[in-house]
Amino acid sequence: MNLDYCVARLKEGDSRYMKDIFKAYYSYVMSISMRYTKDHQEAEEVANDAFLKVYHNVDKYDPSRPFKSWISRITVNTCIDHLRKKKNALIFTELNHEVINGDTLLEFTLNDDQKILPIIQSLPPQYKIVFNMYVFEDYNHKEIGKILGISENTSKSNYHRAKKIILKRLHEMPEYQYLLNPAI
Amino acid sequence: MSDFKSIIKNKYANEVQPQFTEDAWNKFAASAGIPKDSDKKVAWWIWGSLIFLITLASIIYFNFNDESKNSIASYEEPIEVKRQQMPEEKISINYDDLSKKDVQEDIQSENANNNNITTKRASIDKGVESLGYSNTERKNSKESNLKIDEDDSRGKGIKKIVNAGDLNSASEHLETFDAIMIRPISSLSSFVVFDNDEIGLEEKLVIPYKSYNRGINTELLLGTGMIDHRAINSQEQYNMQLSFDYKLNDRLSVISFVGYQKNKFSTRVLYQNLGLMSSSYQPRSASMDKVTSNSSVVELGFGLGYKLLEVGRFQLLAESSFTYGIIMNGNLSFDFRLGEVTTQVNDDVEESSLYTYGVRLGTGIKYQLNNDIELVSKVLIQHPLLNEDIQYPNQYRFMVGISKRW
Repeated sequence: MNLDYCVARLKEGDSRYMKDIFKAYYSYVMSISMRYTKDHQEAEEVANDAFLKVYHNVDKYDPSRPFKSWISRITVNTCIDHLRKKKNALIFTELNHEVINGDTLLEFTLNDDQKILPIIQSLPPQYKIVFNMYVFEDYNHKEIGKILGISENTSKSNYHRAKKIILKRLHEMPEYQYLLNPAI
Repeated sequence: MSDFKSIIKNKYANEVQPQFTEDAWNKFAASAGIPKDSDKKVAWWIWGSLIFLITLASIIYFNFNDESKNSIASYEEPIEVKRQQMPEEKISINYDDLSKKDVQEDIQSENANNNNITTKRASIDKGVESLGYSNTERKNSKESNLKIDEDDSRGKGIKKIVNAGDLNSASEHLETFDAIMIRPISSLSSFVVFDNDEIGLEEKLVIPYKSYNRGINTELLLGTGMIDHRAINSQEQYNMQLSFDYKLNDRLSVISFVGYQKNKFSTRVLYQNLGLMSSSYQPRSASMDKVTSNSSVVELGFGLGYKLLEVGRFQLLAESSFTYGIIMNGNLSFDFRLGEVTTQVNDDVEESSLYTYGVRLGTGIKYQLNNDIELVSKVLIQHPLLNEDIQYPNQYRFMVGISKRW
């Protein structure tokens, strides 16, 4: 199945190609939405909403850009909207006194048998959003701040708070063997 | 080097791999309004079969229903009766009598009195009397009906009187005249197309709606409209349609269309069955100088079409239509049409096909300039009921054009 062809046909309004696109990107969209939600069921609802936006706005898609990036952006925005609606107003607090360390200060290994998803899902929404956008969507803090309407420092603060929580929970799990190596 | 970010990403990528399920798709399809594959097939068969059967039954009913045949046959009777009142033999005999007797008297009296018109009228009056018309009936006829040009032959003059008398007779038996009009529209022209000069009416009595028996009728329409679709929302469109209407027989005509819309050409052929027409003519005054007419016509059509979308993609369509036309007084006619169309968009590249189903509503106004040319305007609305597709979106079209009979 040529996905570019399917997208072009869908863009022309040929709805029968929506299923092919849904099939091809379902796993990808779900993997994004699962990071931003609490459980699989909620993730399915968000993914469904994201695909609806794709279906109804495909005419706005610019074919010169990768479709995967476009669908990813739609899904992330849908996730953020979902959390905002759920929480009414997300409160992003700036932690001025927190020491913000770079990622390169931390190196650790993870046991393949253990799960990282439940830890991410358990994060407070504001931390979860910033963490996901920084780690998985590869936005920098300036971009995150612009998207969420917060300052760059607030984005950094929320990310490091999220990281701290994750590390703490990993530390509490004996099966996770992580190594903090400040020297690197 | 492994940092926190990349480790988390890799771990997550390996850990979370949701799989597509039909259940997930069905949930999405339901929320998006996309019918499930099974629904599409069932709906296609149900709707297609239903419409086809209705169309077929209607065509059979109008063609072969005994009652219709009997009613038409019974309506022939008054025509025969009236024609028996003035058989050709009688006319010729009277004409001969006039030629031998009255005409000679006319010539003599012309020579004697030098008053051609008066004597001609007198002689024709005699002729009328000899044909069995009373003075009262004759007086009721308008003077203009009895005018004869100098160059006209007497026989023709008599024939005109016969026609006028025919109409007077019809006015006295309006119900009979009404009944005559309930005939297939294609055979009506000989009954309802009268010439001004011939019957002396101020208004020409014509049936503008397909008042031709055979030949080719071409219709060229140019239009504009809107297409309402999520992919091309409210896009303005220009379209063109050229049709050739060829009558196979009194009832069946084949109409081939060549259309152009949205940079694509399409062709389709519609087999149209002419149903029954009913008309009633009401004299506005006793002298029959004005006549109003109201007629209606029912047409049923079944068509097949083909549209080349692009290389490897084409659209097949099957349609049926029901048309109800109203012919107003004079040269104006209105029609209302309800149709349905099923299309199949085939994609050879992807080896797939998509069925769509929708309805068409339309209305048209025709103004007949003369016996051959009509001005046409149409408003068409197309609405998909099943599986909305870019090839079959909501459409609103307005077209104007000209129709010419060859």
